[in-house]
Amino acid sequence: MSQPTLYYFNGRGNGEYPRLILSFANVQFNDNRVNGIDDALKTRLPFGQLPFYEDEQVQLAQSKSIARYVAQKYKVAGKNEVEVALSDAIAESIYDLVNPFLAARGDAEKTEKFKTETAPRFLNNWEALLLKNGGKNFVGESFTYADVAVFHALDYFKFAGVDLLGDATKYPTLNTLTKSVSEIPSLKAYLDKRPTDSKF
Amino acid sequence: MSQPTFYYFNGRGKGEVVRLLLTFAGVSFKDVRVENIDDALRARLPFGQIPFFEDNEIELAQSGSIIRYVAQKYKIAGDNNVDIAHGDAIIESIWDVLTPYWQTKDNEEKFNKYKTETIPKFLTRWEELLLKNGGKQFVGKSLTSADIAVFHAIDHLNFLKVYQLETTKYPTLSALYTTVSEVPALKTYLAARATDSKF
Repeated sequence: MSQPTLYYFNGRGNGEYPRLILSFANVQFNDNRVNGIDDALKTRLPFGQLPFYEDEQVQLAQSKSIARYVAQKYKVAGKNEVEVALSDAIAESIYDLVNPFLAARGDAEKTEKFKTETAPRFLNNWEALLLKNGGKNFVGESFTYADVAVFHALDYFKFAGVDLLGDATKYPTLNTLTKSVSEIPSLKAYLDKRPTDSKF
Repeated sequence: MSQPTFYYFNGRGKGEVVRLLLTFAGVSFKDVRVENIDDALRARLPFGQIPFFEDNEIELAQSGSIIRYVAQKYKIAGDNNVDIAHGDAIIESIWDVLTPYWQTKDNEEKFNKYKTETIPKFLTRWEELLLKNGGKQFVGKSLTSADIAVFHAIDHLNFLKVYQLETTKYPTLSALYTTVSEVPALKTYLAARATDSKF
């Protein structure tokens, strides 16, 4: 096999996060967007689910596991075990924002609670954690996949029609981070060419 | 600080896998069960949440991150990066089995679908993955955090009275369950832990 391959549907969903990490890590990969899971593919999926990733060493399911494996392999997970763990926790935290959002959709009361309580709590936490680490990135002295994970969460919300950051004055450090992450050359190359009409 | 300290509510929920892993790895740790998060503790929590773990190297939030940090530090995650990655995915899969319990339990139709479709789907996959690796453990040649995590999933489904593992249907998984429960350190822990936890 010449290149690592990521299999996911032609949408963002749970596939976009691994795509962003692969791009951030500057990995040339097959971005295999499938229409459905045919029998041939299904037998190869450990849990019958996408995304699914394979390279010369692994065949891997679970979007977060793929992100962590890629980050570790291409050395963008953190410079030592403590940094790796701290980056891991930041990357995990995005789901404490994304999952309540998904659970609140269609329910006006829950959506209101999400916007007025859940989201600000996480945004404030991220802003504080960034500042605590010097303001440019979450962990250590350079970007790790944690920065890309938070970028992804905020970007996904915008894509779903919810601009959590609002005006730049409320979360200035977070705002600056999302801009600088989007301008990382390897990531920018992907962002510039990815479909803009994804349905999910 | 003399011992690693783990903070979680007095229940199993998102904390029990960490407790099982530390116990399996033979780590002496403070198992702090929190009734309410007081201001002093809250000030130390990166996201205002527990579980929270600290030792003399790190202060760490997020249950998954703590699981992986502990497994890596005490060398129970797998022997190489490939096994670690495959084990990582298996541990992720347990939440695809446990989380829907909370999401569906108040909706009869959804809960039924969860019990009759979701749970068996994962049990079947776990049975296959075990067999694919030789039948005794999920990755590599000895028990890792993946085996402990799946043990917990099966154990917790039983504890919640949602599902009891059928030995004839999932013989390899059942054997693994028994093996893990009989690891001496775990056996002691399991015999002593509270049986009236609310979650």
